[in-house]
Amino acid sequence: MQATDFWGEIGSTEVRTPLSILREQAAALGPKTLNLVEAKVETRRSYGQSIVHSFQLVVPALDDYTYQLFEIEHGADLYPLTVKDEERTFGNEKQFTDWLQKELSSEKTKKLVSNLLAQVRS
Amino acid sequence: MFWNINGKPLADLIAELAHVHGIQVIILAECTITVPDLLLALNRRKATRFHYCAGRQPCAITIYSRFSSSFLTPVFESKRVSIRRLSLPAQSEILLAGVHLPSKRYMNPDSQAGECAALARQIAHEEDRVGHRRTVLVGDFNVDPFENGMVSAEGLHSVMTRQIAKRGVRRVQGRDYRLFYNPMWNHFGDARGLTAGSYFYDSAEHVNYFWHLFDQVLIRPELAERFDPSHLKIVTSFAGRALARTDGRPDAAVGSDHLPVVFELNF
Repeated sequence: MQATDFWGEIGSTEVRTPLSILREQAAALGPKTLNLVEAKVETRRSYGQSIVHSFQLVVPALDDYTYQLFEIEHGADLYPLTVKDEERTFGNEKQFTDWLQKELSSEKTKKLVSNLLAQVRS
Repeated sequence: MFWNINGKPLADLIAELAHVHGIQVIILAECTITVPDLLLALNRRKATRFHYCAGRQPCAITIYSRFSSSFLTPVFESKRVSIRRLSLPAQSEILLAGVHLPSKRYMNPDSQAGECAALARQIAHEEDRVGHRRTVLVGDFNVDPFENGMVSAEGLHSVMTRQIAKRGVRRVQGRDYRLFYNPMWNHFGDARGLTAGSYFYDSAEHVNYFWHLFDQVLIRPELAERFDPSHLKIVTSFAGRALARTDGRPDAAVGSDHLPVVFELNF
């Protein structure tokens, strides 16, 4: 007897995942610093069913010195999404990208990148 | 592109050369230019975005690439050798090794052959670990293509034609040795012009070759099949700038005492 398939058709959802949003922003940093300071995203599985993405600043000229800017965590549903250590939670993509824009263009982040640039040029 | 720049501040020249030849990966030996200085020169043009590919430890080889360094990860490094895994999206992974072996000033030919044999064993070990033999080995070997270290089965075992290299391995006394194709053999002599190698050294000795091809590219047969030897050049000039003197010898006053080698590889 042939086995019955209860799964139906499966395709990936056409959404911008938090990971692809973070990767887009990571790729945008290098060209602004002539690749002296770059950004990358590392993904790992967390406890339970969560996925954690770590957004990092990397300085190749300083033996790949790496500074973790922030980490986000979400489950298979993508949202809600939590910024780890800050306990902020966003329910959708718009809320997340608004926060991300503020975070990346903040004085604190700019100062960090400037300091790393100064360090590598000294 | 591979270039032994002899500790010279040639950032602008390297950047111009990389631009004119559309270079994707720059491998340098004897590079004392700081990473920021070279990146500033390489990325001065808006469309060009080179990345520094940091190693895990200090090495005589410095690498920059037009793609993210995350695609070129170190698998083995020593003072004189850097073996990297190059895995670009939608392309077969290859091993790219850069080397700068000891100079004839500090090592006799037998010891140099020993270094080549150690390098050959290391490469075979890394090939076994990654599970393929798509390897390109580039650098200043300080040994000519005809010397034991480059030719011997125990050494780098490199041969002058793709047809022979195609055998893959050669059995000597019951042991199998992997072959490399060495396209540099095509670059000896003056058929192309006055430059008959990549390095010139004149000494008052009975045996004097004058011209040397210490700077070489060795390719495993798996990749050599798709390699066109006419796409490997020893660069003597580009964009109206001469790197060689009128007698064909490297012009160390303008560039380095070695000439750069540029090549194209499909994988």
